[in-house]
Amino acid sequence: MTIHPAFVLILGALLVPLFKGRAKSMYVISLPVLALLAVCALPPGNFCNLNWLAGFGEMTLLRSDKLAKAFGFIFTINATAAFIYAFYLRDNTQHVSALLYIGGALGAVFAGDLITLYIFWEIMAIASTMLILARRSKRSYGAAFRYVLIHILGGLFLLAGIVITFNTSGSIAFSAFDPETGKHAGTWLILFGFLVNAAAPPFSAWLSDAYPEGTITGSVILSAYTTKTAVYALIRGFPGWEILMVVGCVMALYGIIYALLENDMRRILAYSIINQVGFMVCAVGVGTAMCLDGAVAHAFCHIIYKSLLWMSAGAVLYRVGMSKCTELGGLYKSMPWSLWLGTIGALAISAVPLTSGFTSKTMILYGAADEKLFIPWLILEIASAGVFLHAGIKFPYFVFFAKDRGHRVKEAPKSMIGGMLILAFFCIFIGLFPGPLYSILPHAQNVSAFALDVVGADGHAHHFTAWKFAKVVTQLQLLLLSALTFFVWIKWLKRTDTIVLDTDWIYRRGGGLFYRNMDRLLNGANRIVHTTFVGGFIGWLRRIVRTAPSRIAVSALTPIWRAQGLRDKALEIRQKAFYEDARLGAFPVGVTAIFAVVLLSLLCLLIVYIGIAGA
Amino acid sequence: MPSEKDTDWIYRKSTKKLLMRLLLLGCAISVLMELAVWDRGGKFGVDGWFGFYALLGFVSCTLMIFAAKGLGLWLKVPTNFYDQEEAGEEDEVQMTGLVTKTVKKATKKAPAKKATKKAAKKAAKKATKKATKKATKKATKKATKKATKNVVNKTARKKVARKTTKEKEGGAQ
Repeated sequence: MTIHPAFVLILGALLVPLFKGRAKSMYVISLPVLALLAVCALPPGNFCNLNWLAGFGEMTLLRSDKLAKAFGFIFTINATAAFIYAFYLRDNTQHVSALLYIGGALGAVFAGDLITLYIFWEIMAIASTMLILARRSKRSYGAAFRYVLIHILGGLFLLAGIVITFNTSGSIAFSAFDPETGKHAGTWLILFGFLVNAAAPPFSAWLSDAYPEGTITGSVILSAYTTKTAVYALIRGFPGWEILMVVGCVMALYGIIYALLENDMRRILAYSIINQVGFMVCAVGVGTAMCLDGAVAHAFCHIIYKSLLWMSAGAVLYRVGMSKCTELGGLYKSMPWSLWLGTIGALAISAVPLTSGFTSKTMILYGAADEKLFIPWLILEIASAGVFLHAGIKFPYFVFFAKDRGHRVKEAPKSMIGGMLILAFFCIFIGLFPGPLYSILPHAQNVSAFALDVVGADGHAHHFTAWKFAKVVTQLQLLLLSALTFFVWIKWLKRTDTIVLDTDWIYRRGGGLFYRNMDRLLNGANRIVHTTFVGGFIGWLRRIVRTAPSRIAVSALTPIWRAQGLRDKALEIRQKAFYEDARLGAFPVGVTAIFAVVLLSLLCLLIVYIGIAGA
Repeated sequence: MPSEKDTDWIYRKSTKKLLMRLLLLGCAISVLMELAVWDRGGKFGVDGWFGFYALLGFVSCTLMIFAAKGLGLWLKVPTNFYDQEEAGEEDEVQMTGLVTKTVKKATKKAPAKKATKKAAKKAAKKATKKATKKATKKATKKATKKATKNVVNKTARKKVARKTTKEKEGGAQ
């Protein structure tokens, strides 16, 4: 029997308000466990085919293959741990939106076509916004508003791309777009849509803006799904697109630099996500079977250790109520469990041997080196060292040690510790025995406890061993010297009560600045035009038009009046009388007739002249 | 200053020294362990050099810290930067009214810029003076009220006490 894992969570979410107290928490934990069982039970193939969208062909709601199942496993495992962590919580808004969000992510991962993908993609966007709003603070409302705007933009990129792709190819199938022949406006737009969710610069600031403003458990859940669903979509749709190598390398370095500058522990972790996703995006850009499997394995491990780190940070926030490094420190005695479990996550993200990060990140590095891609490989090695700097040492050091700020608080609640213990166990278990992880990778064959053969599309097999003495030694060198650098330059890393300007400045402040400048420029130009043209030129023209005929007539008649013997005052009186008659229109009929005759004869002459000139 | 023994073990200078030495030892061991790997080789040649990863770790991390520090000079802003901006816009709207009024007054007498500055300063001074006057007045009023209340209460208490003692004395007699 095949059950769509996404529907277990989405339909289950609707019943959450019916439960109360502990029963609610137990029910919420049971849902991802059921979804995990549903993922385990899924046979390979396409299911839940629908044909309701006229003209678009058949939609496949459930495509089950190794790639989708690998993400399905980790999504549900992480959700279970996250809900155990959130056992203390009885908030319907948070539980319902978290379940819808995770359900949306599962739906996107198991989507067999672009339309289904888009629908679940948008469910994710809406539900994740609710998770940020659930904190119910002014800051979180602002962050959620900006978050949803960016995701609507990404969604529109995706939708436009799907429509153009369908128009070009006539198919809504979601499979790999060829990096040589598949490049057109549609695929580029789909790629942009995916990269917005992957938090690739310049569309990256939403992550560091919104995730730290989420609730304690909301942020733990948020850290795992949006970016990793985007990584899945990139693995599925864009393997071998070289631009992704560049994007991935930029993300890896950008994440480190910003994480080093940040003061808020949750903002440090947010930038750390971008850094880690950079590894995966770069691996997708390389596009070989080894790198793609490396990206899947790294996404799997990343979700675990990143959630663990967010849980540790959440526990501190729960007890101390602060998240800035300048306000934290000296918690190692009060919260030893949070410290040790968080440190396991920090070691895993740094790819320290015996932890999960080591067994997955080295696959990507090995794959890049195998393709002789020196610059991407070097940047990823540098980023590996940098991760230890900001997430491996900086996070635990400034939060739990550094300066004792006098916080004497209780250890985190047992449920929180329970959630963290599960993930810490996975961090170490996968680090010691990566075999089970390797066995679920899409291109894996001949998997043993520490090694696997990765078979490419050409049928060529690459042997990869997680544990090699030389690899361990070089990794230890890299990390220990990185740690040494941290303590050598620690004065330069002193925290200040600041944030770092990111690309969100463009829409948070740049927009207002642009509006004010444009207001000044355009309204200023309008004012100048009004004063010079409307007030000046038109007024002058009006005066000229009003007085010109009488002036011409006076200048023509003055010689006649002089001939009549009028001089000085008498002439002046006559002229003034004429002007007055002209103003009042009080000329006798005879004079008016003469003017008319003169005007008409002038017109006739003009017409005759034009006729002659034309001939 | 708390003595070395009073401070936690982890914050003692001797502990810090010990940990630093252990770290240095760890670094040295990791580099020396490479000697045990005969012909480690490398995919690019450079990565096969002795101590390459140690050097890469130290140099790249130093460069990243320097780069972050340099960028920080340019990009770091106070935590409430955006909050200030949002509140600032509201204030700006309210303030512009005041400024334009003072500017209008000033422009009648003197050139614009100087006049606005002077006017703004004057307005600020007046405002602060008024505010301080008001505040001091309020404070003094409150203080006097409290003082009088206290005095009244004390006198009342004393009266009551005297009465009760007299009554007691009377009763005893």
